[in-house]
Amino acid sequence: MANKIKLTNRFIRSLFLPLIASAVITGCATPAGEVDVWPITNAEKSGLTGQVVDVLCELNGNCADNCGEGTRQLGIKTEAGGTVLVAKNLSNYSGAAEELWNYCGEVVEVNGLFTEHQGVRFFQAQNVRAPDGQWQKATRFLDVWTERTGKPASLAKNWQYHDEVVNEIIERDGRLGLGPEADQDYFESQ
Amino acid sequence: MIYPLVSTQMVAPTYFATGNWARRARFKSLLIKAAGVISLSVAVVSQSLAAEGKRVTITGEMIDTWCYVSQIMGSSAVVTGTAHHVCAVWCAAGGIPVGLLDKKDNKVYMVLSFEGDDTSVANAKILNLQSHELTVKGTVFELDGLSYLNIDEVIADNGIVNLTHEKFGIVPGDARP
Repeated sequence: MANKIKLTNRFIRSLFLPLIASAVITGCATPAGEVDVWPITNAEKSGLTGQVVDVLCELNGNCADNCGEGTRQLGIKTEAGGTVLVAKNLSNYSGAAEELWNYCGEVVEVNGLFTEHQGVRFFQAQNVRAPDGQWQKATRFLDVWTERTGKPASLAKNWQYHDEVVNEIIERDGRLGLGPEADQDYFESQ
Repeated sequence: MIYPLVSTQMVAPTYFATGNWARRARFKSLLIKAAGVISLSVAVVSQSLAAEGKRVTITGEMIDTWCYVSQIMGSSAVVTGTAHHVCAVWCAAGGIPVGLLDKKDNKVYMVLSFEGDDTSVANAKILNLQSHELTVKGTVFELDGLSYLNIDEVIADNGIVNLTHEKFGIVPGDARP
């Protein structure tokens, strides 16, 4: 049984990791403005035009200057009236707040993918078109990370390995989150 | 879509029987006004509900919503708990919305504030609670199909209890040492 599970795990990893890697690599190679279809659930290529809004502000009037300047989840309030949560950008393991907050309150165009599962539907922005009309890839997070941490820009693409806040948590809690001893027991047994 | 309370099919035949076009125009105008009033009322009520929210107590796991919803790394079961802990921390640190996955019905609540702190991007307290099972008190707001949660208070922190690594290993593979 255990062997079967391990085989299944290897299968999952061998199946999905190349897909993810190719999606990210292809995404980086795709010209600005074009949308790459990632292997995600109910992926729907789409473009949105609307006002950049702070979701919390939309909900209960709790608003911050400049949509929180990258500290709050943001959405696009479309011309049709609905607010779409933009949960993801084009970089590894990062959200969309840094891609959008500079346009707080302005009408922008974004394109990318919707994904939906269990009734939750939100958007991955791959490109943002500023009011001046130029498409920009939604990877501003990497520049902000480089500036914030003072680390070399060459590390930004895989920022998750080099982020001190992240590494402190992993060092303290372990990769399983159960403490360093549980990690040691588990990984030595692999 | 707003529907008039009285359909034109019910009223129109007798009303227009005289063939009076002025009356017909007035009736049309009346319908348009009624629809406008109803639309406005619905919008005001919706806005009011969104503003007030609903007080709730929820027990669930703090999750990485991108991997859970997109299933880019495997099924939703794979991307919760210990198997996905490192990635959950990465994604929260990167500013992807954190969710509370209700233990009762697997409903996902997008967390927008935590114990009075309205930072929902890389919130330090939330980062340290990724994959934990929490019981929280808070307020739920519904907006355009999503449920958003402001966590007012953590009543219980049960730590990480979803030991998915035993079944799935570590996902993604680059989260291994």
